[in-house]
Amino acid sequence: MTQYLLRRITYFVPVVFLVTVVVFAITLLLPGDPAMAFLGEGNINDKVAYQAMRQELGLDRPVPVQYAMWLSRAVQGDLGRSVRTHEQVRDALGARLPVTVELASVALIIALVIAIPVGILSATRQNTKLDTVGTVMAIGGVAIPEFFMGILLIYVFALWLRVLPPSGFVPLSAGLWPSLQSILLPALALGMTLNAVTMRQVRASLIEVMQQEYVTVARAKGLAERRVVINHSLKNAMIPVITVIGLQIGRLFGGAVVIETIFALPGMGRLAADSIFFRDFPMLQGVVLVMAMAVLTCNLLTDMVYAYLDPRIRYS
Amino acid sequence: MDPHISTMAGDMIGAEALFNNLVRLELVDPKTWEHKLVGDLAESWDQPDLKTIVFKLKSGIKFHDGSPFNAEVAAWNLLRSRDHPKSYLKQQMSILESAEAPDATTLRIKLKAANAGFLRNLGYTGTAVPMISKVAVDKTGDDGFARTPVGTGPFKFKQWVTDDRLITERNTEYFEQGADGKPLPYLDGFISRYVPDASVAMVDMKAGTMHLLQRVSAKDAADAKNDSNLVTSELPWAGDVYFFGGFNVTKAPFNDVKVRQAALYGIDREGMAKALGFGIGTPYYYGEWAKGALGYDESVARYEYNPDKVKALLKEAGYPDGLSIELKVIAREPENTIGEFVQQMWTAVGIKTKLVAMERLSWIDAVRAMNFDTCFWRGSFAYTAVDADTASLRITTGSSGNWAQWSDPDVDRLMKEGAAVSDPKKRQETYRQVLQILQEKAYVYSGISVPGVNVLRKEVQGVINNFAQPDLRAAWINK
Repeated sequence: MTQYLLRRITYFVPVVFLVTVVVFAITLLLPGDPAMAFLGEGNINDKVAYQAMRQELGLDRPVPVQYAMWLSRAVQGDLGRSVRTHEQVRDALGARLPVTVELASVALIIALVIAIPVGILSATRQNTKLDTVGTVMAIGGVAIPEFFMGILLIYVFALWLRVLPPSGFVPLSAGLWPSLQSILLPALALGMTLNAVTMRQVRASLIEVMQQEYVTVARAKGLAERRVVINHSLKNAMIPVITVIGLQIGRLFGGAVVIETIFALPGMGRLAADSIFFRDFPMLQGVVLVMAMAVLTCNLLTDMVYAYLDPRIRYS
Repeated sequence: MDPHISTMAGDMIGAEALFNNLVRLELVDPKTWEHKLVGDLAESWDQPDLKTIVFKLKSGIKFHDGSPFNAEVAAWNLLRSRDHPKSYLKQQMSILESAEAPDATTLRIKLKAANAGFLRNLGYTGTAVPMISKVAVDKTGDDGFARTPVGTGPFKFKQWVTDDRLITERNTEYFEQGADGKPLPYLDGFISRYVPDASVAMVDMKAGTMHLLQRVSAKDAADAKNDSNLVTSELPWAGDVYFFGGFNVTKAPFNDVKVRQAALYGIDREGMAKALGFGIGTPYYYGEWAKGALGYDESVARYEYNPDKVKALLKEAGYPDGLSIELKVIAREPENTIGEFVQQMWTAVGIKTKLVAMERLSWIDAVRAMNFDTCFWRGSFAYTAVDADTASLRITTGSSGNWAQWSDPDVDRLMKEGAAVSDPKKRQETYRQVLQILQEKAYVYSGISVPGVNVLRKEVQGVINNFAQPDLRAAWINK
């Protein structure tokens, strides 16, 4: 298993390298001059400022040279400086990543806390009113766009009920409860789709597993239904569910862009979007690097969880 | 947050708080929009001729880092704003020949050419040169200073969480006092937050988690008026114009003045004001010129909506069956909505319009390359409300704000003449002639004007609307 882990970690390097090359190429292909992004519409004719900006961005150098220079600094831990905000990319990422991690983590917890029990209930009480409620929740979670859900939650909880703040982020250093209060609504909005998809997968997987012969044997032996479901069926039913969750985590990071914009959270999603709009190459490369590492790590953790759930799965 | 390099410092509530200028504008009459120039860091000034200004500076003032503010530092600031390659004030300050400090409190400025508007422009946020600490710039460099600005203002920089908030604290050594004789500022500090979604920001205001919201849309202003906990301040002189537009006069069809005039007759501004103004928008006919600015004259011909004239002019220009054009806008609000309006209005009168909403950088690229028929952008006529000379930054040949890149030698000549005299009557006549040319030649066009509206919680008192920016130096909160 250790060898397998080390091998998987070494695969990170070529994958991340390829991702940075692709992103570099794509950003160069994007229409629009990056130098003008910073000068703005108001300086459209300022040739001196334009040339100064192009030099600062390194755009006066050939493309392979630009990439090589960035790479040689990056391997030494220097990801450069944001041209938009003048902060070190490393520092910006360090400040933004915890916001998105907290958002995604709370969204994941909310999704699982709702999806697994409701999925189990739906599976064990098929075609009842409870099952119908679960189905409607799932359809709603998938059908309602995250941005709409976010605005709806703001109006209900922040404006009407006045129990939660409508926007802004409070870091954990300012207190657990104030931080949770600031992240609850955005996490709820972000987690609804994951909740819906997971719920349906739990339901489907559990129904299939509970039709297996060993479950019939368990029932025949007189075990309580609750024990049949939780102890004998759920673990096996969770394997495809883990796959779905692993795939959806990447989606969580993507959905964070919209949610972070609506709720004014200074996270990686917004940073990525702003970096694209402003053609902030150094920052964009840094963001992509971190996102790629995060997705690869999530995929690795997903595989590890398989091995835990099913002892027949062994990696070497 | 370097105010010489980034306009962010002027756009965000923070500029007025962290920095002072040499002079500033104060409102005299809200009905006539008259503003007078008063000293900020300058105690007084003398202008022996239109090329020379001698400031007497206030003494004993320190920057937030403890370094002294004096004439030498002030001169350095002016020269930096002129010479720094990334200064957005470069074009405006290019007229500065020298800035000297014969002693610690005397600043002598010489201009390359006579300019009657230069002094007044130093008082307006959009064209002022905020005074920053040279010691701080020398210590941290441009990049470092951009992250940790140092000024003389009533509030000091504490922390900037990028794309989230600017946190400030009270400057306990600030040099001004309030009307009650107590030192300013009254507030212990403030947090300026960036909320990307305007509707969410309004919810923050209504929920009481925010105290002041700057420059809300017309729709949100109407909404705020219905909330008894909120107070609105309308600043018509600092309003936005929906929209400023320009034509590509280098190629057909808009190289023909008759086609341009036809397009202007095809804009129903009254209808636009009703649909998009939310009760506070009004038709605006005179492009860059603010009401009350030198040169503004409503007797100058304007283009009232007239579909018959559109048809007649198009026929004269050789388009009896109408024509097809492209209108390029940046894909954001309100440009998208205004673009749809204009598209429908023009199409209804025979100017079949294809609306092309583009990503911002793509739009900039297209316009710079003159790859457009007509385009428009959002903007404000506040500049000309300060002084008509500021229009030279937008309507003269090669000027930084002349996005449609048209050129008229008579406009260039008249703008120079208007700046070179001090007699208001002569300036009025000169700039009136500029306005007449702009109208007759139809280089630029506009739709409706919407006042700048700031929204406050009713418990917030003492906020001064310093031309356009909320000034918090004398603000307090009733509890």
